[in-house]
Amino acid sequence: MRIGVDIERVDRFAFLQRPVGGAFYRRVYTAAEQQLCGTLPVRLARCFAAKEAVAKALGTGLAIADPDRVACIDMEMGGGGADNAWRTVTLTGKARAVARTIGVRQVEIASGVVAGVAYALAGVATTASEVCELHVILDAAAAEVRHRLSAVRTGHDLRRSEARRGA
Amino acid sequence: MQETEKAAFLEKLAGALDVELDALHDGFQLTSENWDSVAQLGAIAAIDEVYGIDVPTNELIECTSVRALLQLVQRLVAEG
Repeated sequence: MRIGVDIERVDRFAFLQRPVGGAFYRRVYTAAEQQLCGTLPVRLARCFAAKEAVAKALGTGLAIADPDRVACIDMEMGGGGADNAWRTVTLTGKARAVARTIGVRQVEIASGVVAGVAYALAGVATTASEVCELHVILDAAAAEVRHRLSAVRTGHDLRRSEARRGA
Repeated sequence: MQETEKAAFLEKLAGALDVELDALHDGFQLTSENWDSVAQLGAIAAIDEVYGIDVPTNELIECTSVRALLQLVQRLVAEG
């Protein structure tokens, strides 16, 4: 089983708030994802994190210039829905080829947002037993990520609070 | 490179790099800390939107400063 993890600060995606269809969108999001995300930073960040996580789980990472890596639009996230939770992914192009090479049977995603940080985990199962365990392991790993992000945020807030008191 | 286009590009680049526009001088270094995949994709998009150029990504990721990035754009604009 392979697990890929990625986090993205939601506010970094605020600069993308322009009409859907711009150059960044075309390179990063499929047409269906563009419709689901609109220009909402939280959805854009979460979808991007999911793509990074899937690419890491496949063992390549996302491509910017390297043709041996998986491109952003080589996968389409699904299940965004009202809670913005990307749960499924359809692999195409290079991502599909890599998945075939390593014998992927199933890919699952867990994603969320904690304190302004979008996180995503992608699990790749290559055996029948891994398929059975995938959901449980991914949920446990996601809980750990949420816990760590909360702790980091709490520490950050404490330091800011102490700095203000000191001032 | 026209100054209005350069200003528009730098504004978008600052957003992609998550820095204040005032901090984005020519000598600003692009490092592993700020030159990540989101920033690179944002820069590609900014160049496309402002100059109408599809920048070769292998050349873009080799830029180590804003100056180098601007020189790359200038060269591509000149090449038409």
